[in-house]
Amino acid sequence: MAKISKYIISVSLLLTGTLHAQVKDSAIVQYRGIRLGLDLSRFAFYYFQPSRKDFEVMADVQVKDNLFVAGEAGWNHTQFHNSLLQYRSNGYFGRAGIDYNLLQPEKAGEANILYIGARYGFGIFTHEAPLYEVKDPYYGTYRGSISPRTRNASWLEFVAGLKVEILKNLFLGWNLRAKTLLKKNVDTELTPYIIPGFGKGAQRSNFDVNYSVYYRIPIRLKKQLKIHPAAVGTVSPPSTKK
Amino acid sequence: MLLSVIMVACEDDLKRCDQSIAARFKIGFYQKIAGKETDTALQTLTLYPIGLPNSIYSKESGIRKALLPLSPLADSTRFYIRPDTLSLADTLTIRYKRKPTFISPGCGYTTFFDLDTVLFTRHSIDSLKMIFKQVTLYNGENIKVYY
Repeated sequence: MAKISKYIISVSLLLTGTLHAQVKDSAIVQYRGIRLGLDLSRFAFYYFQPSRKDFEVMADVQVKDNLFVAGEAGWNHTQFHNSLLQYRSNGYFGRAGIDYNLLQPEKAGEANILYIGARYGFGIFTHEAPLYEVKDPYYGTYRGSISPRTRNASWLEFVAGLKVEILKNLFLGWNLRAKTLLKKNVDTELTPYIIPGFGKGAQRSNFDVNYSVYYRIPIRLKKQLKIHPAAVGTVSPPSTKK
Repeated sequence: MLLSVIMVACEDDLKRCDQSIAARFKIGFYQKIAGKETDTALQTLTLYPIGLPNSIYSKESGIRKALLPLSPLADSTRFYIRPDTLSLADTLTIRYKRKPTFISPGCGYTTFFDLDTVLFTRHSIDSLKMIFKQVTLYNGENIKVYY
C-alpha cells in the first residue's frame, strides 16, 4: 500500500511538473464519462479500529474543462463495549460538491487530476447505549440504558487530492479532508461516537484520508481544437485543389 | 506507519478516562452580620447523607464550602448537618430531577441533577438561598446556608 502511494505521489508530482512545462497539443479529445470509485482505506481502517465498519463509494463527472461535480455516499456501523458502556450506531451519509483540477491536460485522453474541492456533507444515524454502568463511590454501582434514537448532522469539507490513471480508465487516488461541523442535533444523554461520513462525533472538526480505486465509464463527448499562442499566424488553411 | 499510529490512537478513547465524572452538590456557609453577608468557616462540621454508613465530613474544622454526593438512585437526598458540637443538628432535604449524562466513551455515564426544592429544619440554620439549580461537573455554589 505504501509503495503504491509512493508511486502515485511520484507520478503525480512528475505530471504536475511536466504538464506545465510542455506545450499543449493542438487537439484535445475529452472523455467526460462518470468516474465511479470505491474507498479502499475504509477496509484498512477496520483493521485498526475494529469498533467501526465503514463503506464508501464515490463518483465524479467533468462538467467544464477543470471543474468536476463530485459526491460520495456510504455507511457506518459502530459497536463497542468496555467495562462501563455498550454502544451501537448505524447510519448513512452523503456528500456533494465540486473539485477543481489544478493540472492542464497534456495530451489526448489525459485524465490525471490534482484537485482541490469542497463538499457539503449530511449524515443520519440511529444510536443507542443498551447498557451503561456507573461506579459511584458513595451509592455503589448502578446501571441504565439509553433507547435507540435517530440523529443527524451536517458539515463542510475541504478536500485536496489526486487521481492517476494507471490503466485505461482505471484510476488510483487519495485525498485529504478537513471537515468542520455545521450542525448536529444531539442530547446530553448520548453523544454519537462516530457521525457517519464525518468522524468523531464529540469533535467539531475532523481530518480524514481516502485511498480509492476508480473506474471511468468512458463517454467521448467533445473534440476541442486548441491553438498554441506561438503558432498564431502560421497556421495555413487546408490547401484546395483547383 | 504514521497512519497506523493515528488509527490505533483513535481507539484509545474507548478505554481511557482522564477526568473526574462526579457531579457534586455545593453548599456555602454564611452569616449575616448587621445585614451584611460574610462567608464563615464552621468549627466542627458533621455532614453526611442520611442512610449512608460514613460521614462525608466528620467534625471537620474550617469548612467554608462543602461538596456533597446526591443520590443517583432516588429523586431526593437527605443530609444531616451539624455546624459544631455546641449547636443542634439540622436536616437538609434536596429534591431534584436526575439526568443521566454521557461523558465520553471511556468514562461512560454519570448523573447530573436539576435542583427542584430544598427543605430544611431551623434548629441552627437561620435561612437558606438557592443560587444555582444545575449540579454538573463544573457548577458553582448551589445553595447558601446562613447560620
